[in-house]
Amino acid sequence: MIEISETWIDSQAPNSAAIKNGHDLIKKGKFTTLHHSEDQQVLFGTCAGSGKTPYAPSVDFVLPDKPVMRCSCPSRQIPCKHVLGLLYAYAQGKPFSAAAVPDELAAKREKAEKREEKKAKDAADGVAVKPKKVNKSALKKKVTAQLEGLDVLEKLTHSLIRRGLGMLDTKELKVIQDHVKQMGSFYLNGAQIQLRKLHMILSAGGNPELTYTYAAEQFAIIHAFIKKGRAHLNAKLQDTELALDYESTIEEWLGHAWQLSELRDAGLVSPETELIQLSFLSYDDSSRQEFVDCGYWIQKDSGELHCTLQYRPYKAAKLMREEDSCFDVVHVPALYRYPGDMNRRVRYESFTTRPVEEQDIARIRQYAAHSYAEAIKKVKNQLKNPLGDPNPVMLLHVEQVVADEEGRLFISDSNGETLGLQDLLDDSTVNLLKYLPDDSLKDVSMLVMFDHQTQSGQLQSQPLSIMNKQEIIRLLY
Amino acid sequence: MSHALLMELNEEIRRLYIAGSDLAAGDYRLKRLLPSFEQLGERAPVFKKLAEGVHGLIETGNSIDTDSARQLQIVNLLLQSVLHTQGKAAAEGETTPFISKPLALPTRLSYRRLSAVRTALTTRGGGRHEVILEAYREGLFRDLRLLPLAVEALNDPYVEIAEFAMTDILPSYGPEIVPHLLESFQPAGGKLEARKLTVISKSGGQDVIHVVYDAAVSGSDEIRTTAIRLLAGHQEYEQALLDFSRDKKKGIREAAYHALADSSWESAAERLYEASKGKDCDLVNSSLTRCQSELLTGWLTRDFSIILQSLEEIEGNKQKAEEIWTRVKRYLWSLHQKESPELEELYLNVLRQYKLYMYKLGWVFLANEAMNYMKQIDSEEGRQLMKAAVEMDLKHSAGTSSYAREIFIKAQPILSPGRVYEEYAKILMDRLQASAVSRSANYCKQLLDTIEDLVISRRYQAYNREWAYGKNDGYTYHVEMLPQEEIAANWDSRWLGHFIELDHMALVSAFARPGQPEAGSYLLGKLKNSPEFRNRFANLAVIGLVRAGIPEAQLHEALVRAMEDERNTECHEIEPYLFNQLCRLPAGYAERIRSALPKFKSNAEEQLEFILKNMTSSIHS
Repeated sequence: MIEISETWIDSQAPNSAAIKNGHDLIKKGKFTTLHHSEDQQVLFGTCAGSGKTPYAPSVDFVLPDKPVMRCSCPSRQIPCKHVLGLLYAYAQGKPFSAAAVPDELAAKREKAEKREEKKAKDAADGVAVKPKKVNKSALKKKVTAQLEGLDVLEKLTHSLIRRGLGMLDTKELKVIQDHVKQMGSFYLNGAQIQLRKLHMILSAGGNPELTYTYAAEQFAIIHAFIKKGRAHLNAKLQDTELALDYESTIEEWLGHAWQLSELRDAGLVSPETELIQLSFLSYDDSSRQEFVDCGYWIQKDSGELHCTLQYRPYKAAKLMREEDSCFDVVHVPALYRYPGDMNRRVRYESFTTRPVEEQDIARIRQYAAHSYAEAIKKVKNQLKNPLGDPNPVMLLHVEQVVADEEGRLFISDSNGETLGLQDLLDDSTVNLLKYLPDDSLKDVSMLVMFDHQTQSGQLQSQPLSIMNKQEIIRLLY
Repeated sequence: MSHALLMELNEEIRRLYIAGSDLAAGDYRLKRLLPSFEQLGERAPVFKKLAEGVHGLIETGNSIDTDSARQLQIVNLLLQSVLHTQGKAAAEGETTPFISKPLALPTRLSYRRLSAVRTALTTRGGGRHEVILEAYREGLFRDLRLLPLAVEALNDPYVEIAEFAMTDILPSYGPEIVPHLLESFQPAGGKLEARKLTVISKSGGQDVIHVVYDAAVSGSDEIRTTAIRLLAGHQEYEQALLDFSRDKKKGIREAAYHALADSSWESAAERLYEASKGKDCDLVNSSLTRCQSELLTGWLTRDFSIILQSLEEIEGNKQKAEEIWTRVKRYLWSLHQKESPELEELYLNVLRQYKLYMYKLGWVFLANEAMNYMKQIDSEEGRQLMKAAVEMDLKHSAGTSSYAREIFIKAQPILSPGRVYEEYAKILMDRLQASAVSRSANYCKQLLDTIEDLVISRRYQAYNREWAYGKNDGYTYHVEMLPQEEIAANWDSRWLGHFIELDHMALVSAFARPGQPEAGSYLLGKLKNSPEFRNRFANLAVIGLVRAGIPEAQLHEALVRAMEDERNTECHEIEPYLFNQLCRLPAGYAERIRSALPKFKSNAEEQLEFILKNMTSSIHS
């Protein structure tokens, strides 16, 4: 028997509109038949659409943690509203009768099964998955182009710096804009993003003093990127294998999109792990021209903090699944980690969930850092790398929350060391602390995000979530 | 010390970014900083590196030209990295444990659910009100993270949202919200703070009344007027309110009158009465209307009748009469919707001298108020006087434009149905002989319109679409008629015949009654001639057919025939009454409905599908 909950279905939906549309199909009574297969592995039905022939949505649970959702409708959203409606109908206990799987679907299933079998057979026979052939000469060409692009970028920044930002006019902004486009043809997506950011800083208007400060910081980042990128690419050219760098984030900066197989080959995969999401946020990153869904997770067996990132390019945002907060423990058969420092990006292909229990909370509370001095040292160590994530996240133990004479809030560890709290993101969370009961402010674990503010010389942190003994209080999402 | 030095260097580097790196060569400010860095460099290698960088920057002028930019970038990168390790995180002064004021709210909602409401509360533009109402109905505001936004909503430029936050959202958090609102409450503020104070007072009750009082004394004008109104009914501030009512500022006095009107103290009634005599007589008037004190009503009635009596003394002096009229209007306003034996006597007196007030003086308001008062109470003398008054009106207005309108409306509830019919029926009879452009045709039209307004109401109103799949609340056009019993009791039965003669379908429908076969056949003919559900006629005809009590089978057949008629297309939504009648069709009609279905569109299609669905389920059960 297939067991599914409405929350699980919600989590499968690409966006909230699809959830609503799925529900509406049931309300409207558009489902003309609802069936499950004899072996109870497949749910399928027919659903009236606008045309004459009804659509045939189906969900195949042959791999329970990786159900396959199919539908004959032309929607590019997967799962479409028809499949969601079918699942909701099942979860709501609507009567499903046993029936033979339609031929068309059976054929598809058979093909999929054969694929699986072949894969299993190959694995059993020890047929090594053929390493992907890399077209080395093409790669070499690409690396050379990238190096060339870095030169162009350097030339541009140097000419800007020599002239001075005070002399900047719209014509020069236009030149930067043109270079943003050029970077694309040099295969330098990372450079494109950083240059676009510079353009945004310079054209934003507002307080010019602040603009200059941010611009100077951005120039430092671009410089570091050119320096490190060039060294890396030159080294790569020397290497006969043209191997990827699995240690640092430079590949990503240069625009490489890691494939799971590459991560697996580099041994960056851990089997059978449990993750618990501590916080979630979604924002519009206009320098990337993408929406970003970002989740912060703790790995239950090691206490490492990871992040999941989903980029939804503006142009494709409508068709992509929006991530949402997750309140369950997520069990993943294989967790892939990206190269990086703190809060590495992780990905997984399939997962199952179970509710969070008190012992899970007790377990993750143990991972909270007790000494702020050490935590800050670790954070600063990352911050000094201009290509590192400027907003690392850590889980800290909070002995108590204190306030100074002006009413600013700090958290304090058991040694009495304090750490200032301030809102860094658009969503403010510091002002929520005053509504929390004492047991959520004393002897708790707090997930905080750090940020260094050059102007004031302060290292600030924003609370994202709090774990008291019973639950996770999400201050953000 | 070293941090200050680093910041100083940062400042200089920033200056060079602004001015252009070419100016770095030989820069004397950099030269001045160099020795300090060299000195520190002897102990810390990073300072040594910085010193080298700065040195290189000063020397750039001597080498090839792009060097200055490169050198500046090198120093900047190094400096930024160093600065990022210098951030201070700890508190500088003394700290004390933070004491929270808890509100037990969960944080279990997901991003998708919260973000829509958050956007609605933090952005500007249309469509937000609906989202917020919906969120409140679904209980989303029980999530801690929406609480601060709910407080900020008090300041929303869209007044409905701000008021909704004040009257519904914030009070739903209970008294625990009060300390948090108090914390940020600024007595010197504007609208936002005034709304905040209202929530504080409504949720905090007696515990916070001193805060309200303080605000009433020392706040901004906006706050003071709000606070004063909130003090109404609090005995301990009786004297304070009386004092406020003598304030120099007009707004404050008005607020105090308002508060006194809502308080049941004798002193309040006295003060309001006193004010009504003085220069604030206009200002206090709305508060007089508001005040329910019998004492005050008694005093005002007494003065009112003295003024009316004084009319006799002026003996037709027009100017004086005008002055008295001004005062009379004030009393009418302040005694509106109040009752007392003295007031009854006063109005009876007015009706006794109806001719004087209505026609000689032309004080229509007074005469009408007296009539309205009498309609509210049950008094034989009152009824007789009203009848006499209306008869007078009929005589006076005959032949004028108000005869078939205002006077008819006035006379209809007072005179007997037969008397009204006899008075007015001749207009309808004249019409039959007259031409369409004649005066009597015009007159007849006026009368029919007036009657229609009295018995039929047409309006858009909220409507629960039981047939709808998704959103099932909406607005739709409703036609409602007076109940049949009411028409039978208050209207003469002879009207119906005239309406049929004049071919006025709406009124025939309204007046149709069982035992009048002409009405039934007339309406059946109408429905046959205009069967289109998209037009209003079909609905009206069906209402009439039901009122005429024609046999069910005949009605059902007529309905389905109309539906099948080839002209019956383009209907987007079936009107509620007609729809309800269609719902009562027996299941045997299912096939015929199904075959007519393709002619109907959008909502009408859903409505018919709903009917069919119910038919099949009734067959099964």
